[in-house]
Amino acid sequence: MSKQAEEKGVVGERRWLWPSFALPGVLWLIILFVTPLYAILAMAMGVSDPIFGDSLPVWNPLRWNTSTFVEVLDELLTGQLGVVFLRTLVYVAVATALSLLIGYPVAYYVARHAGRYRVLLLLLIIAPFWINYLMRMLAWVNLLTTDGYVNQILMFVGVLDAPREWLVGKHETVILGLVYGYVPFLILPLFAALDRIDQRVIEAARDLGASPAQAFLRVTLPLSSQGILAGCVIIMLPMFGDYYTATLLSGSPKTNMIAKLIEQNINTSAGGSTGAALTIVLMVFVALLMTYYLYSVARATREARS
Amino acid sequence: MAFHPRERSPWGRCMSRREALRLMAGTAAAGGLLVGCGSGSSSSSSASRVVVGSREDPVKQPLYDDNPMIDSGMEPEKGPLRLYNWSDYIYTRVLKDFEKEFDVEVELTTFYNLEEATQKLRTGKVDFDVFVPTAEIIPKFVAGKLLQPLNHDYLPNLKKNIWPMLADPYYDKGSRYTVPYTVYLTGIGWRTDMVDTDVAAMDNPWEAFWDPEYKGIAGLYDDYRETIGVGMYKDGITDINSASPDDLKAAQNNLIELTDLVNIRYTIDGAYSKLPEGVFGIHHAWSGDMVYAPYYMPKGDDPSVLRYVWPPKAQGEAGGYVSNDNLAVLKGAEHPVLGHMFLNYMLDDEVAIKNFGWNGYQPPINKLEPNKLIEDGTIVKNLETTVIVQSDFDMGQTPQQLTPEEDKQWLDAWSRVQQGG
Repeated sequence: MSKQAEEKGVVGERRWLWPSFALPGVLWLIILFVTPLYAILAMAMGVSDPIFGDSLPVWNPLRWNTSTFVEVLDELLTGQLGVVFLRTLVYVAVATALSLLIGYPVAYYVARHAGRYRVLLLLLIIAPFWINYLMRMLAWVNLLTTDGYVNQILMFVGVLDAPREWLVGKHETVILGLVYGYVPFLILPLFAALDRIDQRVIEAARDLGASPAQAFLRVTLPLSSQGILAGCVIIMLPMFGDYYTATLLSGSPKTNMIAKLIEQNINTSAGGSTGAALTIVLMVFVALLMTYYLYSVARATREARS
Repeated sequence: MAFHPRERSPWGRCMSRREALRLMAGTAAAGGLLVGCGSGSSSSSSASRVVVGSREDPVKQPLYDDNPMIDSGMEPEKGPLRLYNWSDYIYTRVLKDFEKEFDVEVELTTFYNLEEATQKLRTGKVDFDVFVPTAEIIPKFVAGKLLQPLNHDYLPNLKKNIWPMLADPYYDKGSRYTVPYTVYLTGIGWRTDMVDTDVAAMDNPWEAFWDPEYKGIAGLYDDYRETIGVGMYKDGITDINSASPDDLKAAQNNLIELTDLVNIRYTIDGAYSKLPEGVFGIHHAWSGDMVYAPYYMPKGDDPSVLRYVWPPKAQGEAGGYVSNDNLAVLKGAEHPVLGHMFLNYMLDDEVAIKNFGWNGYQPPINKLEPNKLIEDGTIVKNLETTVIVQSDFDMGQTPQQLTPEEDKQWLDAWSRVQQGG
C-alpha cells in the first residue's frame, strides 16, 4: 500500500472495495468465456485421434497444429467459403436494416405515444418469446407452404397471380425468418433509449422553430443513436450464429449461412477441427464489428461529457 | 454430418444448442463445440489397431488380454439393465416384457447423434451395459476397447434365428463383439401424383434427382456419408469406401449441379414426414423411413401414391447403400451377464418381430417372411420394395469405416457442396 493510501485509511480500503465488485464478473468471464474460447482454439489447432479419427484438442500452444486453420483460411480466400461469409453478412445486414425499419416506429410509438398502454404493448412485444423459437419457425413453414395462408392472402389481395414457392431456397424467406425471429430484441433497447430522451429537449427544438420532421431528425434520432447501435449489435450477434432459420425455411445450399457449415462439421467425427477453425474466423469477424461498436460508444460517452 | 436412419428428430437435439447460441451471443456458434471439447482424454491405446473388413476380405476383430469375455454359466445380475440407444429405436413394450421376464428394471437412455454418443462413452464415466453401434463404427469401438467380447454360451438365438450372413458377418467374423439388430437400405422414395416417371424403371434411378422436371420438389439427406454416395452413384461409381480424388470430385460436382438445376434441399425428416405431406415429390430415403411414411400422410390423402426403389434392384447396374445396426455389451458394463441376456432376448423371433411392428426397421430374422409383412399390413403393398432380404447385401454397398484422412476428404467435398456458391 502506498504511503498516501496509508495516510488516508478509509480511501485505501475503498480502493480495494470497489474493484472487488468486478470479481464475480471477471470470474464469470474467465469460466464462461475465456475457457471455452481457449477450448475452441485448442480444437482448431488440434490433431486427429489415431483410432476414432475425431478431432482432439491440443492444449499446449507449443504443440499446436495449424494445418486445419491454414486449410480453412485458404478455402476462405481462394475457394467458395468466402461466398458463404458474404452471404451471411448480406443476410444479417439486410435483416438488421429491416428490423430497424420495423422496430423503430414501434419503439417510438410505445415510448412516446402509447400512454397508459405502454406496459401492455411491451408485454405483447415480448409475448411471442413465450413460444420456443423453433415452434415459431415451424409455424412459418406451415404459413409459407404453397397452399398456405401467406400465398392465399397475397393472391386474394392481388399481389400474386400464382402461389409462390417460398420454401425452396429463397433468400427473402430466410431474411424474413431472421427479421421475425430477432426484431423484438431490437425494439427493447430502442424503447429504453427513446424513453430516456427528455421531452423538454424536443419541446425546445419545436419552440426554436424546428418542424416535427426536423426535430425528429436533428434531436430524437441522434439522441437515440446509442439505442439503435445497441439494438443492432444485440440482434446481429445471434444472427451470425444462426443456422436454424435457413435450415428450417430453406434447406438449400444456396441459403446456407456460415453457422450451418460449422454445425455440419462439428457433428461429424473428422470435422471438429474445421468447425472450430471456422468458429474462430467467424468470431474474429464479429469481434471487428464489436470493436467498432465499443469505439463509437466510447466516443459518444466522451462527447456527452465534454 | 453423419446422421443415421434413426436420427429422425434432430430438432430435439438442436434446441438446446440453439439456446446455447442465443445465450452466448458473440461466441454463438461456439456453443455447440463445448460438448465436443469435453473429451480431451483419449482412451486410445497405441497397441490397438482399427481392423476394417469388407465383403471380399472378412476380418476377425482382435481380442485383447486386458479385455476378457465373461465366464459361462453365471446368473444374471439384479440389474437395472442400462441401455444406451438411438431415440425411438426400440419398442417400450418389448422392454417391459424383458423387465417382467428377468425381474429387473431397464433404464433406457437415448441419443440423437452417434458422434455425441461415442464421445460420451469414451469418457469412460458412463455406466451403460448395452449399446447400439452401426456396422461401420464397430472397428473403432473394438480398437478403442469400448466393447467387451461376447460369450456365445449366452446367445443361443444368434445361430438359431439370424440370417447366417449376419450371424457371422464380415466386419466381425464369429460375432466376437456384436450381434445384428436391424437392417436397412438407402434408396429413393417418391409420389406418383407428383412425379410422372416410374423411377424404379429407370436404368439408374439416382438420375431422377437430376431431372429439372422435379425442380423444387426434390430432396436429399443432410448426411455427407450417404449423400456424396448419391453423387457417385449418379455417375455409376460404386466404390463408396475409398476417397479417390476423381470420384469425390465427380460426386461433388454432381451435387453442386443440383443446387440450381432442381433447387435441391437437404433435410433429415424429408422422407418419412415431408414426402407424405407433399412438400417433396421425390426424396432420398432409408427403407425404415418409408415404412413409417404412410403414417405421416395427412388425413384424407391416399398412401398408395408412395413408392420406393432401392436402385440396385432396378434393371441397371446402379448402386445403393445397405447396412445394419448392432447390439453390443460395453466393456465397462456393470451388468454384463444381464447385458448378454438382453442381446439374446432381442434375437428371439417373436420379440424381434414385435419390436419391428413399432420400430419400422427390420430385424434380420430368418422367420420374418416378406410376404407375410405385406399380408398382415405391417408394410403397405405399394411399399413392398422396402422389405430387405439377405441377398440384398450382395447387390448393394455397405459403408465401411473410412480412414481419418479419407473421412476428412469426404467431409471437405461435402462442405463445398453445402457452400452453395
